[in-house]
Amino acid sequence: MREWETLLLMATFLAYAGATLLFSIRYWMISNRLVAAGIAATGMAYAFHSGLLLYRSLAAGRLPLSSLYEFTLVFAWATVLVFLFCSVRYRLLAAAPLVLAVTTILIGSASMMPRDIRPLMPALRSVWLQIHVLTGLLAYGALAVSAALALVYISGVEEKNAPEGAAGRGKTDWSLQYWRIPGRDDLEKYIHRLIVFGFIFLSLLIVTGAVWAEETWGRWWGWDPKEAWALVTWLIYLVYLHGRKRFGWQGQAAAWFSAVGFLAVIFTLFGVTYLLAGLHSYK
Amino acid sequence: MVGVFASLSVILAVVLFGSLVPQGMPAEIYLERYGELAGRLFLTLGMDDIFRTRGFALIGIVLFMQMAVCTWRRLRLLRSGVRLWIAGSVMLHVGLMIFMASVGISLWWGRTVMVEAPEGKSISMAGQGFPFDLRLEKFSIEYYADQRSVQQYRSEISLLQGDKVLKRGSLEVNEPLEFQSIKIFQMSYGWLAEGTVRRLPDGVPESFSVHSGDWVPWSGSQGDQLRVAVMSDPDKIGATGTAAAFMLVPAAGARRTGVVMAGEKAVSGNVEIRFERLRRYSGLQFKEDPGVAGIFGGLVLALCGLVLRYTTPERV
Repeated sequence: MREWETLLLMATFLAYAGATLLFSIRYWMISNRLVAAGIAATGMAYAFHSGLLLYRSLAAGRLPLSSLYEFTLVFAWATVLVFLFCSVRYRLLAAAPLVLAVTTILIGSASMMPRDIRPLMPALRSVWLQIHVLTGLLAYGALAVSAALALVYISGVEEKNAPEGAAGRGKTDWSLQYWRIPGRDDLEKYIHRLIVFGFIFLSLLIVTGAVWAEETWGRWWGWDPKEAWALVTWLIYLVYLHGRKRFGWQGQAAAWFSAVGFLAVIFTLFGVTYLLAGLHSYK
Repeated sequence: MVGVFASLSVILAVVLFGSLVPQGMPAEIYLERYGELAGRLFLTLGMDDIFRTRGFALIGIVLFMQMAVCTWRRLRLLRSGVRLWIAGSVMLHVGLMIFMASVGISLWWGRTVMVEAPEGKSISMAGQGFPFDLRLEKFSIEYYADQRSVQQYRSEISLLQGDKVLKRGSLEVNEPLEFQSIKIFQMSYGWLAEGTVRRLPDGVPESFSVHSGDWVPWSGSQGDQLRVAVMSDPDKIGATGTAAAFMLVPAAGARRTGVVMAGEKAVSGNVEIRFERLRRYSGLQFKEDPGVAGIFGGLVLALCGLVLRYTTPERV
């Protein structure tokens, strides 16, 4: 039965990689077919991805939230979920190459991690596991998408002019409806909204972690490397929010904070786990 | 606002430093790693335990005062009419101030005591300032169906006052036991090697109870040192029929080693070692912290304020 997991993992990886490639080509070539193929590949990848998580949940008899492999898969899934929401709500499909590239890398990394299903250790047998990790997923998903938009902003990429009259040619140019790079002001606004959303859930992540640690270890904070880096990430975004209010940090500053903040997120997830030993080193 | 920004930046730098440079290690390690001069400076400045330095506490106090000023300004803005985003901002800052004040209470008045309670024995907690004694009735480990992975650690304890049982209950990981304002947490477990040691021919036997591998405290040692280690994992093969290895390092002469079965004695030179048995202990943490309610109350208030601050339209 474990082969099914490997097959789903490979299919997910390949479909995301294909979608990334299709959307990347779209940057240079205006084509409805490319966007349609990219959307189809993304949908297929997400279906495989969801199937993989469902399979894992059924095999383990619990939500897949307890090892780095499982968390990486769910983190990638949440990132795509936030991205799909933004694509529909704000028509931000143009950020797809970056978001899907990050997702592909995450899935690829997960494929190299130990995949054995282990029973939950006593410290993880708590309802706080689900609450704590799910808040983290929403936070990290939103911050990942904001970082992708930030890179679009920093790169200064602008949409190539569509063929004259394209927008008015009816269904043949439907992709222009969703494929657009917003104006820089709009882009900055979306980055800020996503950071605010991510920051609220990041705060919730830290608070739920503190409540859980108090119940498990008898201390709500212990300067464990994972805790310290969650605080570092929180402080980076807090400095940005204060800077935006006080110094009017918008545009490039906001974009750079988003990118650097996401690097801190990645280090908190992977760097701390592999480089800084602590109570949270669930590999 | 500029001051708050500066304080946050300093805290960020300190947290980065503290997370990347190992903290709380023995002084010799820092001296070896950074050299005599830099290592001494490092230790003098408290950089080996940076989160407990007065400087770090001072930054917290400064931030608290800055937030108080910010809150006062926002409260004045509210006089001209309640605006949700300002109310949210006030809640956020007041929540964080309650949190910080409670951290101070916790650090000042809170206390945590670790106890290794041997199974079936009572130990006095009066010396630690608790109004009861403790007896570990039973410690157990539950396994999953594979019989290898631990599902839960559980201690059944009694809190005693003389002969009177104040409370009897069990606690496990994630399920601490609460008595009055004291919480008791399941932290660890292990085995103690128990026995006696005496000097032949007429020395008085002295009882010992040590962790496997530890040196035996022995008043009649005359400079000899005795170390006892359990030879097998009692969690796998059980506590009965266990053997212990001992190492005797005499004040003069060569060290001697030997093996003794549980319930038997061995003689090494003029030292008699009796290995009585292995006894399970449970590592329990006793915590009394008047600041915890304020810490979580403050955080919840701050979270509500954060949501209100950023989900309602900002109009001046």
